[in-house]
Amino acid sequence: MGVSAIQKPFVSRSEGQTLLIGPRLFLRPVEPDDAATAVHWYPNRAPLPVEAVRERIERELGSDPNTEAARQRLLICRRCDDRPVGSVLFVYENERACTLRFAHDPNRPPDERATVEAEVMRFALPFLIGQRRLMKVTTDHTGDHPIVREAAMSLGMRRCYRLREAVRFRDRRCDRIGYELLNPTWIRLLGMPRRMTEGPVERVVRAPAPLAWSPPSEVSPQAVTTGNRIELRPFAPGDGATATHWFLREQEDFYPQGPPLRNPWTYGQRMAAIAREGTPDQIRLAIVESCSGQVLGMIGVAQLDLHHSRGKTTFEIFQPAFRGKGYGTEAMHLLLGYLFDRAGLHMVYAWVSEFNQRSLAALRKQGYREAGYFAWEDLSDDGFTGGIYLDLLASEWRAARR
Amino acid sequence: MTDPFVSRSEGQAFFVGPTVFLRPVEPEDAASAPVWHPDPWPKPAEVIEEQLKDQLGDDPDVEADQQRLLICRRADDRPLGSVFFDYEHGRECTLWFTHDPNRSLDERAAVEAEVMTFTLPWLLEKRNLMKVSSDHLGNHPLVAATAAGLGMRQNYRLREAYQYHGERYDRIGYELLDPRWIATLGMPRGMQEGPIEREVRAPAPVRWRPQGGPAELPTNAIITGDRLSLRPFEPEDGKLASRWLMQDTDDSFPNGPDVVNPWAFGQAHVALAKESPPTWLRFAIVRNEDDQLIGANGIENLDLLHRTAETESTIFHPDFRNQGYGTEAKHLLLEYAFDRLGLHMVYSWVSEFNTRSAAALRKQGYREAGYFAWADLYQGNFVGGWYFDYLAAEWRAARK
Repeated sequence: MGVSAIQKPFVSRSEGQTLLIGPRLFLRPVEPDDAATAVHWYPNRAPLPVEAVRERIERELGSDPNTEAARQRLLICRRCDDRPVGSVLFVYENERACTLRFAHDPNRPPDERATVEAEVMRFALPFLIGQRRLMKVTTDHTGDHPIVREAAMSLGMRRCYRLREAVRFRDRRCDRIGYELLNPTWIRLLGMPRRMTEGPVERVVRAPAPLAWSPPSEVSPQAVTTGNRIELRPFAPGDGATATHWFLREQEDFYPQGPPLRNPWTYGQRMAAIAREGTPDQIRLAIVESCSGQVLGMIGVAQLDLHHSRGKTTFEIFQPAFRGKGYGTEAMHLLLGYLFDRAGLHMVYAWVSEFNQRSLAALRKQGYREAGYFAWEDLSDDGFTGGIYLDLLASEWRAARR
Repeated sequence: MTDPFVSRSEGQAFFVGPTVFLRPVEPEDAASAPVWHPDPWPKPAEVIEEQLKDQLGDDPDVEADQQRLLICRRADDRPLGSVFFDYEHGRECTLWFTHDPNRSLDERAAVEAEVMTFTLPWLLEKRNLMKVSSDHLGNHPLVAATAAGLGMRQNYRLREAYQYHGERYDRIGYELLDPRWIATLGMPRGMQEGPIEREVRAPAPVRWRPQGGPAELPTNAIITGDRLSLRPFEPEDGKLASRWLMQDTDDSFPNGPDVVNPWAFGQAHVALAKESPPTWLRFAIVRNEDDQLIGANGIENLDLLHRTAETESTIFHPDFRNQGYGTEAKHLLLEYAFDRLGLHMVYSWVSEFNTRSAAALRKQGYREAGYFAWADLYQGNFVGGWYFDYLAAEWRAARK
């Protein structure tokens, strides 16, 4: 027998790291070699060979460190053996806010996941507020685990949203819960913004979808779905020119940052790019008046997630002459029918600036429920204005039809 | 009878003035590219159209964030030039003008003045921006009067940074701050130009004296000084840079230390090296004695037409700071920029928070040339940023 080698003590690669490190965990940048442990941290549920993940990682990391840093996934590793236990995506916005989204080793139970999230929150959030000097930090969670809640409260956070049943976790559905931490130096300057107020689950739907539509006898062959006065058809690249024509003539103040000025070519190409996706993560439809064929707006869904059966609805009526006449509500119900009945979504949600009271009133009338409030989202004429989250379950939408 | 001409600006609710209006660029505008496109080279319309489609891309929000609009005459819709709206952090915007090259300085100034008058107040009031800025060739009295009339103030003067018809002109900036935010945050300081005649406390030596002679120097060195060399930044160098930046103990930036991805950082240098013509030349700073990588520096926004560039530098680890390495590396970079590339002047931007870098630039001979209000968030308020300039002639004269 030879002389046994003296084993060197394990030295974590976090040694000397001065930021984003806790008592048991540390964060570090993702590298292509981390493809080997992707099952523990990569937010993709499909079984992918290491080489395929490596290619994806290289493509996602790209060649612009500033772009990467603005939307940065960091591995969550154990200090005792450097093993990844998950990852956290830092989504920065306008260099003044950041949202943390967690991905976990899928074999870990909710308690372990919550413990990891709590530790990361305890060292990452003070860093983001104290050293990055952000105005606010938000965290997004599956369900309302007491360990996470306790960490949030101890950090001075407050709940900012609850999207009901928005997450599929194993064999059940959970709420999607958000917490926000506001920088006290900005609270002192701007005052404390309002808190979230949840709308009631039991509510009157003042403008529900009809049980059945009565479309005109002649329906366009392009129509995806048809209502009484309008139809939704795929948004064609050429419709971009119509949209921009109306954007440049906008007289109403819908957005805190003024009317959008979207390039007609780019807007059209966006629609083509979305359509090319095999399994789309968004859908865009043109709202067309059936009798005249005029495109009066756009409606669709972003962040379409078929695993969680959810999506974020969005709509715009370009032509002022069609506003305030129920076309938007008819278009929304056609979209919801498409999303709930054909695409099988379980719930939808929407985000609206509190500046845009008209859209907010329309969504409430259509049956959406207030589900959250985001402080300091946009610059406004008196400092900052917030944004409101709303949610709507498929079962609620169906029950309200009459 | 011919129908009266109806401008395509008819009914447009904003970005319209008495004689000109703005509209989005479309691929068909390639046909009139020589009068509005910022690229000065003669290119067939079909090549420009291909490039336009590529630049416009397929994300309207990304396009809107860095948006070029045509400046057209209302009388006949003819393009006279273009203006680039460069939005930053959703709170500010800078306007950059491009003109029909056949127009005189007076005609250009008249167009700029009209566009400033109908866009800048709108950007504050409707877009609710905190600040808007505009960049100009020279200090034309009509533009200066318009800026003053709008309540703007001059915020930089980069000496001799533009060339036009064989002469050099200063690059002048104006900024307009939203009075509502001035009331909330207080009035930020204005620009204070440094003197032209100034002492250079740490000039470049007349000649470098590398230890050990040429045979001992790194074979991939592009330029070598007494203790340091600049060599190309290799993709693998990204790993060390990333690790060291996560060990930073200095508070150099108002938004905290960078968390740099090692792969993306390495690949960025590959992507830059593939650019033709290059816009950013990046070097690894290495010690001659042991080939140790200690930082990186470079010249970005390289403009070979105006012969200008912006200098930048980072020393990755605190252990290598405060030993004169940064200054030696900067002088090697300036020698490369002025003597090898033939640049006429360089400039640099530094956060007001980073007083150490600002002190280093002053010591190296840079002159304060401007101040940008409300550049970065800081403790319930903002900090600004300084512009510095440096002429090749000044750098050469200071060598001793």
